[in-house]
Amino acid sequence: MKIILVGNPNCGKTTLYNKLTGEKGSVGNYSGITVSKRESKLKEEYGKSNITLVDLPGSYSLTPYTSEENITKDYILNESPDLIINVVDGANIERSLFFTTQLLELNVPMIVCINKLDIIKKRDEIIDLTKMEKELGCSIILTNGQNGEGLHLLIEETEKKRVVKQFKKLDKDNRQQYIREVINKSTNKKAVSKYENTKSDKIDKVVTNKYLGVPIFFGIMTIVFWLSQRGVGGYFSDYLNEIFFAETLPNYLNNLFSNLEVSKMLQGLIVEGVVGGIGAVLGFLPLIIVLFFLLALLEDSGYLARVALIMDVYLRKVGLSGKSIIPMIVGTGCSVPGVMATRTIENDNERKMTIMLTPFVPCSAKMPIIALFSVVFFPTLPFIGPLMYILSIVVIVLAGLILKKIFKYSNDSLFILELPDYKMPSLKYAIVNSLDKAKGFIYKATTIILVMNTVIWLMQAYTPKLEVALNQENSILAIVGTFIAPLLIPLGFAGWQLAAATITGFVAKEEVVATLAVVLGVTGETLLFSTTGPLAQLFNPVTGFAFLIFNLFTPPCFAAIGAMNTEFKSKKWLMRGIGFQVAVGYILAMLVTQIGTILVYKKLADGFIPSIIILILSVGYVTFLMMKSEENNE
Amino acid sequence: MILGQCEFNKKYFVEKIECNEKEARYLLTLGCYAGSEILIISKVSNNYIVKILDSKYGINEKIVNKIKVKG
Repeated sequence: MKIILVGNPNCGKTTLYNKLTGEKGSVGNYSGITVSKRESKLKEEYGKSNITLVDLPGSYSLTPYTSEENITKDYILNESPDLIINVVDGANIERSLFFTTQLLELNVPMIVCINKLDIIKKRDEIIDLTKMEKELGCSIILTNGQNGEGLHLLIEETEKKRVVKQFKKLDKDNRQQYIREVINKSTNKKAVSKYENTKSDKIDKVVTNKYLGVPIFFGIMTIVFWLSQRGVGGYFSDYLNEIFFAETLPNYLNNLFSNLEVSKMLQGLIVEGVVGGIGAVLGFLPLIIVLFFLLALLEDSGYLARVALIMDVYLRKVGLSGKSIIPMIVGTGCSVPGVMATRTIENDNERKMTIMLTPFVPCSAKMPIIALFSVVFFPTLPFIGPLMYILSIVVIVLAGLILKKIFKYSNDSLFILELPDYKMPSLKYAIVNSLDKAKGFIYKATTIILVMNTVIWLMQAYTPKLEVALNQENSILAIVGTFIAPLLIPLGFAGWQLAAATITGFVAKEEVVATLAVVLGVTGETLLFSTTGPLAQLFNPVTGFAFLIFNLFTPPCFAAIGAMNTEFKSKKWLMRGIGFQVAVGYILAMLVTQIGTILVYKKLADGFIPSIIILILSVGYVTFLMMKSEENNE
Repeated sequence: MILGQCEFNKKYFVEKIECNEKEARYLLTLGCYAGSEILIISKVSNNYIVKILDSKYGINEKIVNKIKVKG
């Protein structure tokens, strides 16, 4: 039996779904957390093994406004579910009934589940279920998704045979009137004449204040990054990077292999290729767990909706919507859910721009690169990490302005954003969520990154004739890298090693550091992290900084490109998006190298003339596009 | 009177919604239609915090100014 959960955004569907199935779908206290459907079997404790539950994105009605709401409508109409559970937001029953009445008209068996029982009790509201059931012609169950109250009743109810009665046809003029009648007949809800500000309103007064709002937001984000990168997360990551993966594990394995008399080749592959590469990635696990934990707390509190509101005025100026800030905050963890979170943006142009710009936010996979390069090349400058976040904001603003000029569009259309009441974020949920993210990260490190590292290691150890490369310069990797290397000369990235790291970086940004570790033949990070180590021979501080910039702004990984593909729903836009990101990364890195070399070393960098040509061509092309759109507009 | 000119935290009744059809339909699903109650809690730069039924929304000025109300 297939049961679907439908209801308004933020009515607690996903919380119910998680409770009923034991899944760990992300929940949050703002509209639009669930952006695609999810399905799973009912948990065993309910004793009904034949039930599959489907969680759909929230929607206010069957006539949707945002693209995420379309999924709900299409699903109900095309997949013919056996039963609909319509989750009604107990905090706003009247609004929810709009959707309920539309669903009843579809003549599909349905149960109404009034959720957030705790809020109903707190407000001393009384619902006469018998009267309401009679009015709507379907069973109603009261639940509390947070503590599971009423869920067994709900599942028992699904077993009952039900006759679907033809529900009265309502149109847009009498639907609201009918709903009012239902509410008046079956609840004790009284009209109040004067509005008393609630606790949430009082918090809002402070966090959306004209002068305090923005500083509070940046303050909170600074704390989030400080705690994850320097504080708790940084402390454990340092231990893993500097001791465990640098000394403890390699020494142990080297001893073990020597005692077992394993061939030097295999020992090299495992210690340098596998441990060196994967260690370079896994060392950052604590940092990522703390970051996702804090982001989960933020999402759960209800604060993100307020951030969208206060940032709206600024984001409009660069062609985005206030809602664009949520994908970007989510994107500090990972670009994939960030890009997916753009679905709540109503205006199609604003949504496309947000999809293009969200990957510019440094995601957790870019943190290892930032950490490595700032330690090696700028050991005395503690602000390189924060600078990268500031720089990403500057680039997003400038890129937004350019895109707005190229794709002329008005962006002052409808903006409506629900501001849910604040709630105490659930620690348990945040822990479960961050451990789940950690699991995904470990999985990625031990599958795709492991495979790639092994391949990279083999490619740098063998010649094309499959003989052991005595000199790395003759290896397969060196030959492949040499092909691409000329393209990177204007950026100041000399040598096939960097070409190799650049290619693998397109697959996943975690790969960049891992590949460098492998091609430079360093186990663990102490050598890699050393200011006089092999890395310092490939770069000077200027080109090192350029390499960092390049990796920060080129597309984050294959998975993010996949997400962009899904969200753009157009190959043309996907190509534009990728092309734009690659161009921004390339040109910025080129500018850093060329201008930086002149300023710092008082000489011209390699590839100065080609750089000038590339710059003139790209500026010319952008101007051409802007003029063309100007003409089209007239 | 335009909703944007209303006194904060005071209840008004919607008289007329002058948005395009798609926007009006969206407002209707939230419970904002001719005859419904509405109140403004505060203004945040170019947006208003508006209470419709039991929920609060951030709504942009352009839309708020298309909602005509009476006391």
